[in-house]
Amino acid sequence: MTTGSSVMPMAEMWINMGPQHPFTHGLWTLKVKVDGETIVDAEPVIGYLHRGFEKLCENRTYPQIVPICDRLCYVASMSWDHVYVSAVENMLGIAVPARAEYIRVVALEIQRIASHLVWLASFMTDLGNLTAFLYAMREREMFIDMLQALCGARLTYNYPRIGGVSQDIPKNFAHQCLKQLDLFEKRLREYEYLIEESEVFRIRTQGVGYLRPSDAINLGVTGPPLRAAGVPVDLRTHDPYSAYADFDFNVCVEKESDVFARYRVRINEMREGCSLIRQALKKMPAGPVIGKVPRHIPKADGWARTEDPRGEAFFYVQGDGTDRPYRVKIRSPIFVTVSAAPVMLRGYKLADVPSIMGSLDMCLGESDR
Amino acid sequence: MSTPTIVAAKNENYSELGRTGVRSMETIAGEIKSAFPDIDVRIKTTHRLEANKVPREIFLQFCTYLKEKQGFDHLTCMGGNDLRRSWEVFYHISSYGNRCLIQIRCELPRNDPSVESVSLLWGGANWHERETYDMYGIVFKNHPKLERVLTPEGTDFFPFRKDFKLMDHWKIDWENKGRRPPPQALSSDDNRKFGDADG
Amino acid sequence: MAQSSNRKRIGLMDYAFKPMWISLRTLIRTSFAGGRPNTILYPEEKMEMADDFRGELGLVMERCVGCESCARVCPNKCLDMMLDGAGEGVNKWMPALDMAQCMFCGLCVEVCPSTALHMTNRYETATTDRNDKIFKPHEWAIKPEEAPDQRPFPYPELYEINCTGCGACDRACPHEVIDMVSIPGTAKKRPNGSLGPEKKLPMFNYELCVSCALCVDACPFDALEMLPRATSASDPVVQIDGAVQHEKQEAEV
Repeated sequence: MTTGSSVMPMAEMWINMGPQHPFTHGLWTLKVKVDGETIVDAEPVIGYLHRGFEKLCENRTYPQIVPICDRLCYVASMSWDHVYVSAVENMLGIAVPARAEYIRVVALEIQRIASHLVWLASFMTDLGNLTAFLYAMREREMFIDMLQALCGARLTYNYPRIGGVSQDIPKNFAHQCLKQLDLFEKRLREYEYLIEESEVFRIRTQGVGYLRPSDAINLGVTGPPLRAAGVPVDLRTHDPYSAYADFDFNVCVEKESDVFARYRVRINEMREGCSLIRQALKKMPAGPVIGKVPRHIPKADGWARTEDPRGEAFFYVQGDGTDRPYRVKIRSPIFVTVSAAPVMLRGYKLADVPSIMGSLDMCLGESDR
Repeated sequence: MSTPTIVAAKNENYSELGRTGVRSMETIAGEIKSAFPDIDVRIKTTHRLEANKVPREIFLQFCTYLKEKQGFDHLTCMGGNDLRRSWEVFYHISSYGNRCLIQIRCELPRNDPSVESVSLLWGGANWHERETYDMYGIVFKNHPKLERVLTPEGTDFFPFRKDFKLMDHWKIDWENKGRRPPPQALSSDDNRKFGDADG
Repeated sequence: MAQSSNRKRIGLMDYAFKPMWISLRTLIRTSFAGGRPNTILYPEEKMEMADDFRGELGLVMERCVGCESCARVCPNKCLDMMLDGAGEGVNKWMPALDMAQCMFCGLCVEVCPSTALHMTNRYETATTDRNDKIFKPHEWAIKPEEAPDQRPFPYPELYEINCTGCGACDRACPHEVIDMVSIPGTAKKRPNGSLGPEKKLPMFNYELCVSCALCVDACPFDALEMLPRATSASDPVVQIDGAVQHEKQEAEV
């Protein structure tokens, strides 16, 4: 596992963290080159979960790909369904009914909060705070129940369709949803007392994992790590898609670009998510939830990019006139973010690795595809 | 080596990025056209540009121009494609300052699938180019570390090429309750006839 | 070490006692009288599922018309059509299911025109042998009362403006529902004075239709669409039983 340098034995060595390691959250390896306790270099190794997703799509018809997109990331599958159907709608050049767009916004924001709560639970477990794990998982159950009422499944939703969504929201949904959101916002303040005021948490997160804003842009880091670096890029306002242009919300930006700033960005995004769901439920127009879709696919290509909970998700679909896509390309945010991990890790201690890598919110299903 | 002290970058203020100083699509497209007259740049919709036929010879020059002069600072995505008679690489490069995205496609000859790497311009292209090499065998010149990233080391085929066929679905013996055939290894030099994945 | 938050450090009250008070309050609320625990004892208690929860698949054999829509749309190819006894000596063409390959996407339930497929609320589907999850049609059948969400049959409707009379729908139809009929008086005059062919339009005999949507798939000009249509005369199941029996006799011969 370790190889000594030829010049100075045992001065620098490579350590394999993973694929079976408590901090990895999935199957991947982080090779770390250490000099004593200090990290000199690092290299992530992924690919243990590679399923050939893009090749799989080339052998499926367009509606059949939607349930497979669920399997890209089981923590945020709604957003992956949405980015796929947006790309196909862009390719066909069709418009979606207004009510369907609003329902999608509600579903996406519920999904974003649920995904951030899973991140909070696993990140706190990395840092040894098991109490916060239980609290975050309890709150996530509320949002999973909401999504289950919406589309009938707990994790793999298969809810958006090309041209709309599969079914309308249930009768009592808006009332229940608002009640749960009030409860959740009250509890979100409790988290800050439970987590942020801990001295151990502050020491392990503040001033750790610094990433220069210019590096973050150049290396393609997106999502909460980018906004924590002070770059106010959120595709919901930067390049508005779906119905996000109709709503009024803030982009959560922090300046410090360390682990604690990434934590603050995610906590604030959950608050903004609550306000977005309220606005969308209040302004929801009446009408059909699915529009007319042409049966015949043109020889064209289309793409869509959206703000996933983890960063910028991108789908490129190229059709050749048959009922199956010729080429599908997925940009997974974590795939690019983890390639920038050596820049964040260099110079810190080995014990900071779980804190820094945990702050990126790894999800191997989407990065290995 | 000591723990790095955080020095807040003085001249890096991005708080107004993409909010002020946004240039219009027409300006950008016009400037690109005047700098590269033989590249057809079209405005598709708002915030979307397309340059579908970029010659391979001036590809790196074009990308450098986009980054240095036009402010395309973020490489969203890149990928390869097997067009059966030729190869193709496509890039989606976005600009945070101008809030737009440009699609670039570059066709490569069938017998020489190689193109200049852009990972020294945009660090985000590094792993995407490795992945494209991994799946299609397209070689990127001057790439810092062109190795396989998703498939294991020592794989001797390129799985996303169109001549690499997937195996058929299992044919289930419904009358006798299952008895699926045992799983068989998938390799490129297998002489059995591979069906299409959907039969 | 840089302080990265602008929240000020607060006093001992908020620092130590508030978190303890939150934990204590949660403990009291969940464990003592009147409280509701956050977890359930799983094998004894079951979770409440939503009405449209997507659990194990069930087939209502009485309603199935054998249109193969489900087998065509399944992404995993876990449905396959076979002849099976539907009771009273009648054999019908119905889907068999390999539950081990199913991924609960619900696309088959959505396309089923006769609401014969239904996703029940059962979610405990584990077995020790995966061959146990291969079902012939009568083995995964459920009673009609368990699948209450019946909706009217969708039938193909024609947008005449798009139709060119090419006859692709006629060739695609498996049950001879569609006849191409010439419309008198639509022939155009050719330059040499003779009359050209008359325009043809499809006519539908809805009593034979099984709503399989093959004609809609085949139409190259998007002139057909499946629309729900309440027909008083149609009891398609009866019609199809006859047709299937006819096929079976042919097969025996």
